[in-house]
Amino acid sequence: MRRSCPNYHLKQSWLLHLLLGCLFLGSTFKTYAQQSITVSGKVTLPGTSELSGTSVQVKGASTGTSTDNNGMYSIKTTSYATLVFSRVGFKTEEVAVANQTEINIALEPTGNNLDQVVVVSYGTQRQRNITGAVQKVNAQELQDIPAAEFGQKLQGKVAGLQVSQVTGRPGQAMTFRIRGAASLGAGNQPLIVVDGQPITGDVNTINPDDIETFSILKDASATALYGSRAANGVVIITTKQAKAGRTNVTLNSYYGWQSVPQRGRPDLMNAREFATFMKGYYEDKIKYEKWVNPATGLAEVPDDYKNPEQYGEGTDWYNVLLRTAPIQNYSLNITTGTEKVSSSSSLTYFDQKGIMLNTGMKRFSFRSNNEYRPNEKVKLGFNFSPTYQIDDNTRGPLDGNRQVLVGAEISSPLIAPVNADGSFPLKASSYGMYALPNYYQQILNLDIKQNTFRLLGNVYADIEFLKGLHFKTTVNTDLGTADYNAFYPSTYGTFGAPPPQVASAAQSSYNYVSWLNENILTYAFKVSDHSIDLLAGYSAQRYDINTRSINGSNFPNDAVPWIRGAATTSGSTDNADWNLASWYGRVNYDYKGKYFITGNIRRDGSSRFGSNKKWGYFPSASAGWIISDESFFPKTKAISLFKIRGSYGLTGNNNIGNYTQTSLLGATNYIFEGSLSQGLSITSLGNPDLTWETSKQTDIGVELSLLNNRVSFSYDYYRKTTENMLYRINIPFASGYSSIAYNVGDFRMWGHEFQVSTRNLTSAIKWNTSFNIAFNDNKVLRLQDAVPIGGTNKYNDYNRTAVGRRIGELWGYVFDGIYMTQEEFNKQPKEATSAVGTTRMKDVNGDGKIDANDKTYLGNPNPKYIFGITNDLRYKNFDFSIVVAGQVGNKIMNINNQNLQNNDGIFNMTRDMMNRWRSEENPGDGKTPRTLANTTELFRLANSNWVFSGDYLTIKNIALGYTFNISRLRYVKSARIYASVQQAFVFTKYPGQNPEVNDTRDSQTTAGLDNGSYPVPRTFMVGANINF
Amino acid sequence: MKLHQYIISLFAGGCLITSCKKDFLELYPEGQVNVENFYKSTKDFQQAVTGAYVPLRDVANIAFFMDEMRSDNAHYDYNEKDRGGLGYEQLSDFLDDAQNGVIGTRYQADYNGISRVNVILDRLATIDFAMVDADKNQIIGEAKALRAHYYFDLVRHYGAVPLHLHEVTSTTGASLARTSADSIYSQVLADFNDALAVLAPPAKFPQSGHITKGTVATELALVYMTLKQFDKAVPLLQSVTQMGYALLSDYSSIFDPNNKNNTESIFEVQYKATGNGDLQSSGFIYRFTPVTTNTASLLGLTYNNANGGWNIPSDDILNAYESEDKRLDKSIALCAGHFNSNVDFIPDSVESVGYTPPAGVIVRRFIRKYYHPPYTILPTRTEYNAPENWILFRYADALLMLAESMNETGQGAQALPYLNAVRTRAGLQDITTTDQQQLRDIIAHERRIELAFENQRWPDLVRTEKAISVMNKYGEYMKQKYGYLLPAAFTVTQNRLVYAIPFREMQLNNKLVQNPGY
Repeated sequence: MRRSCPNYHLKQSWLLHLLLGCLFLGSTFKTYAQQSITVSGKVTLPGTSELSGTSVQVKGASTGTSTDNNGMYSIKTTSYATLVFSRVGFKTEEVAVANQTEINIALEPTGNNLDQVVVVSYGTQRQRNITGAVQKVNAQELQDIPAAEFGQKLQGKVAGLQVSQVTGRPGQAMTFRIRGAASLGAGNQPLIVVDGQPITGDVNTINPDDIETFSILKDASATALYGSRAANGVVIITTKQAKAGRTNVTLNSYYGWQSVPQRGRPDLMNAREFATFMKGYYEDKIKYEKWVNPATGLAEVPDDYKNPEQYGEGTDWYNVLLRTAPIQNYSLNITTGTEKVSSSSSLTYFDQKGIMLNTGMKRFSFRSNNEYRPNEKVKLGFNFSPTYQIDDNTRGPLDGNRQVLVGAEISSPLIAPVNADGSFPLKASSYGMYALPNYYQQILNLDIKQNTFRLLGNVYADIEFLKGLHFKTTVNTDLGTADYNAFYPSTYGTFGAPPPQVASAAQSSYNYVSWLNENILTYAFKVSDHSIDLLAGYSAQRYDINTRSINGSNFPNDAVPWIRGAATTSGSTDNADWNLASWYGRVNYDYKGKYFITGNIRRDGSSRFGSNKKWGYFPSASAGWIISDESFFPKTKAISLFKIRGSYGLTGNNNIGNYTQTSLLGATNYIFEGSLSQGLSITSLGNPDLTWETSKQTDIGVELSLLNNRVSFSYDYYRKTTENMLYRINIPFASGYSSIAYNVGDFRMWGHEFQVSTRNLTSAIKWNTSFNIAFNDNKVLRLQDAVPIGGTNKYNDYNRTAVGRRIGELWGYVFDGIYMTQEEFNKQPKEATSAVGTTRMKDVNGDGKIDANDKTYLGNPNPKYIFGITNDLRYKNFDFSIVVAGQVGNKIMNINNQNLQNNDGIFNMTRDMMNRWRSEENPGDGKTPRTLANTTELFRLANSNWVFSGDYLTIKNIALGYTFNISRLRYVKSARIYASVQQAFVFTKYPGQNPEVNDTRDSQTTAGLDNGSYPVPRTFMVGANINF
Repeated sequence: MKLHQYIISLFAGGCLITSCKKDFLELYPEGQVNVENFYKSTKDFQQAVTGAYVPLRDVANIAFFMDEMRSDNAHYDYNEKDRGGLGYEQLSDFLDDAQNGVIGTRYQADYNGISRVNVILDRLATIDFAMVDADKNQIIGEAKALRAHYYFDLVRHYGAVPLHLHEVTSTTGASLARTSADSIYSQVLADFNDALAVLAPPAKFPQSGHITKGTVATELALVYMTLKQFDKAVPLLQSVTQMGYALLSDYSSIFDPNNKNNTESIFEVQYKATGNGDLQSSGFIYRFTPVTTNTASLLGLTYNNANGGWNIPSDDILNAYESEDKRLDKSIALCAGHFNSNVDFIPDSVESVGYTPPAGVIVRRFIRKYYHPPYTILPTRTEYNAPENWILFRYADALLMLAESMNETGQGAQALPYLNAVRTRAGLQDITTTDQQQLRDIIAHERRIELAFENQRWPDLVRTEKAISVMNKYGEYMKQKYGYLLPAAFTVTQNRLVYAIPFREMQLNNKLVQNPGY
């Protein structure tokens, strides 16, 4: 077949191109005889001293270079070619070569980001052409923020991206939400894509120093090409690539000191106060309960508490476990680029000690990104990145309910962590207290290591068959292995079980292989004012993991920490896998650079769903219009850009775990004839009708550039309805099962996002500000049988999700005071264990008695709005920046109060517990119940006393840098030193340590809980960036 | 157009090796059997029946809180240092509510068993392979007997409950309304009678542990007795006397783990201390012995027994033993010990009732029936590893049931030999009275002593309509003795004769209505 058509009319040609493009049959083009020529010159950039790195491309070809440190370039091209000079932050210029051999040019700053190239799903786009809600962040801007995880750097930067540091555990701190929680239990973390590779599992091993840019994809149109996993948004990470034409060696390093601020530490009784409380406790026991000391048979206060005045401050156990800990990072990056090869390699060592004793994390990372261009039509890429991470006790039982930190808080302040002779007391309990080990000894005893190795790699080939027609095939692999070893020596005790204990050990490990093959055909062409960009592809992904665990006990002594030394052992192994197959296509159409239309579709098949429900379709469409380019629009400097855009589309979610579509049998062995008899029963109820959770999202956005580009502004409204939410719902035990994975209901989220960037001063002092704020809300529209989720158990069940309400609202009793007098007691509704002086919860349902049916909604764990402000100042060689992030409107339930306010005389408590009711004459503060036996439990159940506002404003980072002029030094091109404070100030009314806390992390149905989390430190650091 | 063909073939070629393979998206776990590959042979069904026995353990592990500790036989050691056991205490003190964990566990376990039986019976009805009739009868017989057993356990403890008779395969049918106690009893009778028709008496002693005709006849008789149809119980129990069962001469050997499934045993929940951490072991002894940080002198291993001190023999039962009764020392023991510096009780020795402690020695009571030291510990150091079975029915029980049924049907004289057989072993005088009322009380007392701590006392009190009077009287004494008991404790009313429907069920199933008073 011949497809030669140079003389057709414009319209016919356009149609034909489209037709051919769609069919991927391509076309042939006339070629001209052209003369080879070398063009060189200098690119000057007003207002910046950094001259290198401006891209110089031959228009329409893949040939390109970039400027060196003096702004010089040299490029081979043809006499008829056009050179395109582009650089982020500057207007792109095109200059026809027309036989010139020297072209010098000065680029004009744009003052906005509209011309920057943004990495989007399966490709790149100029910011002004984008029709979806996408935001780019350059890692360069974030370099002064010390971080084990890249999420720490993104806090406060993007409207609608909520990044929370939920814990201070090194390397495990961050959680993400794009546009609030999109799902119930099927995961709320956005899909993280590194250089085109969707990351499965842990994202915290990605080295922040390797990252060049982030793209945050928020709406359905932007994310739709990641269809099945895009419901929570997508974060695309691009790692450092070499620029053609220069060799660079960069060393970045920093060193910092982390410590826990005083604000937010628990306000516990000191030794004298505790002894005083306990003295009164026993006095009341003698008075009201006929108590006698079982050891002596006498009705008298135990010796420990007889004379509280003998004690001083005593031990502050919280303080005892903390330290000032170093954090350090060294990163060396070497890049080189020629016409044929570009290569970027980096080596990073990161070491963060924990602010809790004997904890820390180290990471060695290497990344090498290489592209080979044997000729102008072919690109071959080879990237790989091994990471090795050592977690030293940071995966141990440090925080959470009655683990080391909380255990220490409730330990007796009467006992010293170390005896006078240097030995450890084995217990931290005074008379009558629960058996608590010495947690100082325990944390020093911890011996829990995890070594994690991960290799991300990909190879690709990109072939340009015809002008604009590319075929790219990529194979990505993600290989990982982890080895967890814990040894608990005989000196190791736990809550309720102080040492000595029988030594034991636990080992677990996994290794997984994940691969992804993508094959993409793209065709971009332009006919007159019509630019069309087509993409079609398919991919297949597989994930396969093997897991093992071994336990050992009855070690003869503490000399051998490996299970080989154990007298008794047990272990098991298992495997899990999932596969995903997908087809996708996209059309980008642009008319005159003013009108933009994008259509996407993705079809995903997942092994996680039943045979008839495996496939889901995720289409989307979006359009944009740059009104300011219209002739009718007044051309003023006041408004240089006015763009509106809108999108609608579907995205999916399949995070419900593997194999839930089918019922599984578990071993239910029994004993017959005195020996083991194999039994099998259905222990997990499958759901063959299980299918995709689908989010339908509408987004409307406006982008403005004002006042000669000094102000840029964007606004987005979105509304998302998620249908067939995936959740493992509880079902009545009478069914024989406890839960089933189910498409349980529908809910809606909506919100407004504003982002403003201003250049306040542009002369000698440069001052830029960016501010963003996002308002989000949600509502549950439907649930299976309208049965609420959560809030059914007496303990450890603090949230409820119900129709007509928000997801995961806090749930419990409403504290209503104390029955102060017998008269009051007689008149008021009571619980079965109520007495005068005990807790009175509110009779919410008004049935005259208090029981579990009186629990109610106590607050929304989701913020009403989140915001961030960044200010950058430059003066001569100084730079200064300050980053602020905050949120307003959410509630936190401090469930650690079940321990810290336990008034059974078995734990130390918060100071306010001293003001308890003791008699009608001595009734306390009216908020603290008496200690009478069998009446105290109600005060320990989830109630409104534990609920606090989670509003906060945190100065996330303050950094001051100085760049040296070192033209005299031969081997150093540039150097900058800086000092910064991370987590500088936290302004909040939340009395706990960390207002960003969310101990259940990703589970939205149990959000907003603080269970005594690992403290978040403040970090002071100094650093240097040196270019060689 | 070679180039284009190349592209297309590349595109399609990649497809063939990956996503277009039909089974690429059909994955099943390799670490677990999936339901599509099971229920395809007789052996599969036999393994499924084995699985249906397992919930018996889940009930037995906690039933004593509801059946023994709630009665006048047992109380608990008040643990000042750990109030985490409040839920257990409330069962004893009649302060329990719908959120009580034990109540929920038992309910769940019973329905787990019922569900496993329903799966077997439904799937057996549609098999497409040949099964030998004898195997099929045995499977159906055991399955139906188990279902009847679980429903009887439910109806006795919760009253009317949802009646599930078929496999639940999705959320549809998972939430049923309660069915009247009468219809639950009808189903129990129907299932037991079906099982009775196909099962055989024990083939040998020691028995295998499977349900036999003897099991079914005994428990079915108890169902009839509960329904006050004593005339129907008599022939069933008489048939049990013809099945080879006999009383052991030594009372304590009945419970000896070296003598499981003995001639006196009618139905036992099977356990074994395998030492492999495969959860075959029992743990009653850890619950029944005192809370201590070191069990070495008591259990023969170092263990922090934080969850103990439950089901402690009461003053009341101690006083109920006749003076020459040999069963006292075999049923109840004393643990003598001391307090350490932290006022933790540390056991030193085991003594008999009547032991007079020297000054400074602290004494704790515990049940001796299930105590057979030394014990061992499992690799994960929190797990216990004890071998004792839990006996649900034994021949002495059947004899006393027979004596009671005969007395109730006016055959007091014929009842006496069965009663006296039990008394003789205990070293007690024969009973000679045939007065129905006197004999009724004597038999009830004999049941209390003979079956003490075997989870019969509270159901017997309810069944014989003595619970309210006996327990209120007992409660007065207890409140007098223990200062920690609230005034509201031991308020025993008609409402307290069944337990609450678990709160979780109430929340998840809109069709349920709570028992009055909860």
